[in-house]
Amino acid sequence: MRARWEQLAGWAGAPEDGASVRVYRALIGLLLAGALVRLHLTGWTGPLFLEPTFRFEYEAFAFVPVIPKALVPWALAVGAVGAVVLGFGAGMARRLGGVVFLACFGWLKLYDVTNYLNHDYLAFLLGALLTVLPLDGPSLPRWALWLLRFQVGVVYVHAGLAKVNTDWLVHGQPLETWFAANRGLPVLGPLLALPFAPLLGSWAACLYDLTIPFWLSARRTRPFALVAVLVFHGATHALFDIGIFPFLMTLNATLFLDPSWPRRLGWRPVAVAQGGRPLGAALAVGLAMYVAFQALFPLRSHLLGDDVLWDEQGMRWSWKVMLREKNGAVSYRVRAKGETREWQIDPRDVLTARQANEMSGQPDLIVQLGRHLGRDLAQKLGRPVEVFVDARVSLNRRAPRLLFKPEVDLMTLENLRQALNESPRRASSPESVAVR
Amino acid sequence: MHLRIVLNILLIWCAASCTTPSPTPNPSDAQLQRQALETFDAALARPALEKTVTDFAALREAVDGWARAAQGQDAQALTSAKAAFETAFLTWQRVELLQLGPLGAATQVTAGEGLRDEIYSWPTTNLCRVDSALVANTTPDDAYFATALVTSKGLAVLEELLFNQSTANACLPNATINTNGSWAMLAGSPALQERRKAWALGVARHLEATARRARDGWSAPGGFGDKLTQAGAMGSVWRTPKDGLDDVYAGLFYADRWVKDFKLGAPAGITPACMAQSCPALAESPRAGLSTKALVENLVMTRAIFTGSFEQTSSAVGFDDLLVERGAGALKDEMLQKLDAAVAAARALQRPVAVAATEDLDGLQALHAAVKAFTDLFKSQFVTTLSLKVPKEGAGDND
Repeated sequence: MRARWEQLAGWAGAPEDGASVRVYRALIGLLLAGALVRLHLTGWTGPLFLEPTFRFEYEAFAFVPVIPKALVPWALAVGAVGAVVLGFGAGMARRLGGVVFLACFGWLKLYDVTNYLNHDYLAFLLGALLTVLPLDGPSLPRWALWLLRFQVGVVYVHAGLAKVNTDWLVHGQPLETWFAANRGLPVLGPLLALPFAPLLGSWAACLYDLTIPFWLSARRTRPFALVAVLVFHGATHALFDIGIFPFLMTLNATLFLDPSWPRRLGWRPVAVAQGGRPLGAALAVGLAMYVAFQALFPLRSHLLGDDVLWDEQGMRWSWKVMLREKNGAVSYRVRAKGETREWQIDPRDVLTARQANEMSGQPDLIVQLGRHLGRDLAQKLGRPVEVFVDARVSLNRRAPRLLFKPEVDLMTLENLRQALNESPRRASSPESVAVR
Repeated sequence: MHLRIVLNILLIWCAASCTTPSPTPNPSDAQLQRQALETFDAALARPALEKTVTDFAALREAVDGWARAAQGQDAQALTSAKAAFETAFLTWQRVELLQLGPLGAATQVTAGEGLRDEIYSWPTTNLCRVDSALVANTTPDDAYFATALVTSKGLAVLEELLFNQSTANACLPNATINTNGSWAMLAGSPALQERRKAWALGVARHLEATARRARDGWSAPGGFGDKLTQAGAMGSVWRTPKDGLDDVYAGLFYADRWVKDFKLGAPAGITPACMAQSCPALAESPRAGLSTKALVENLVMTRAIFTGSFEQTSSAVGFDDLLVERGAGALKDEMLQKLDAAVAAARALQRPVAVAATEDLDGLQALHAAVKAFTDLFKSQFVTTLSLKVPKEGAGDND
């Protein structure tokens, strides 16, 4: 047993050429800096940070102080500088740059739940790994390279697993809806109009996500896999507004190449250190915990409910990427306790258009806003109030369904899961499903 | 072995696609989207803007007649001006649904110039500002309107000037013009009416000029209308025709926010803007009493944009045809039925909203419910089926 561990520790600690990760780190640094600068240049800081008068909090991160609006441009600028230093710096400078980037990026991204993006989470994780891993010098320990590969692979595989559902694989939804909307595109449009395109696209995307890390890892299939990466992410870039995601994932694919690949392009030869240090037990335990968390945490939706697309329980931090076309008409009914006089409140009274659209299909955010409105009105009336919600949500072209029972008081709701388990939408018969 | 795996995968995929009602292939789909844009532009937007210019010119002329008439002999001229106002106001109510392009908010829509608020900023109004300007004897000329806030110009101000013939002002008792006696002094002299006339004429001129600006910005060669109908072409600001439809869709939100919430919900005591049983004072068109007629025009235009025509049945291409093409004929029928019910309920109200808020609150609340029944579908399955998005919602990325 001990001998086997020593063998494994020796293998994991063996040095790999650091050339590819060096190039990768530089490009990721530039990409992340560009992502922050782009937020400013597109004017999105307004709708994302400056215009909202109400913010949806991450319950798990409620301890993080809210970034003052005046600091948003500074956080963007300083974060971008940090990302560049993370990409090009060495030693303490690299780590300091990484910490600065992570602090600014994280602070900005935790501002409002409706700003959540899977690729932001991935960018943060990769930034953190590039900060803490031992990446200085001409080589890096094999476990560090494989941890980066694992991080990318786990995203793909979970994104693929999330696509194994009836809507995606049988109905071709939501790709069918998105393809139809994009049939006016030059070149791609006529292809999207082909009758089998949505199902073909759905299956291809699912199989791609589930298997691409393995095709990239095998030397024989790697060239084809790289072409697939370029085609797949090129197509998603052309079709969807998913920001840096296609570029991020294309760069990530380079992690699977031979670690010395930049040398073939003329990278100045630097000797790779020989020997290396076997993986220590404490580090191994830490790595195992990180790997287990990344492998298992995205699966929690299976424990939290039976339909994550409707209930959104376990939707975030789980690589459930571009899975649904979901929109809702939400209005709250508020009344003083014990009275019959009711007021209806439209979320747009307090939210920006973007926030209202994002929250309309997410039950936890619907509850969060309802409670805020309730507290607000209770203060005005000087009495406790009850808040009910009329949330009619359409998922992947289905007729709208009520997410909450009309008599559920959001102010006293203790168990969101139970409320969702009793949701009227579950009473819908399969025949009423309107997807095609 | 590999071949067998590939064949198995193909078999599974084939089985799935064979047991699923397959999407109806329609290569002319993008063409339909473009036709919907062309219909919207040619049959609805351009004629509505042209009629606005005509009616606003007639309004300016009528107000001019009233302004020139001598005091004591101007009753007939005032009646004509009021009639012209009603015509122009109701024409404008259809244009309210066109909150895109030059009429849309400058920071929120493609090529927005904010001209809607310049013409009619309701429910954002501040009539006290105008009364203060009357006291200050401010000249209501182009220079003034170029920099003045939207609350001191537009149809709401003109309505106040034409229909309020009393000597009361719209300011609070503790406003300076009331506490320092300057209003009382003006109200006691013939100068009040003269200044009101001058202001009314200034506002009417500004309305006409702004309506022309909106019409030209939309309908002139190379204007917004031309650009919209070319959505998706090389160099267009819209990537696809569907992206152009997103802007039209965003304009339709008027039926949800303005019609449902502001025009009905607030006076009917449904929204927290009104904490009393009902709030007639929050109704639109408080002086002229045109609120219900305005609602009918808003809903008729909503229906026209949805179907592509003002006719009850028509072959014009609208959002309804896009739904049918997407296999959602039942949704189209349901939305039309709810929209027709809302129009019928608005017509049945038969009295201004402010009056209904006290005399027929049930009727008003029923109308609100009828509009909500339509907008609930509009904001959920309709948008999901056509994958529409309000451009303003598009800030930021997805995934």
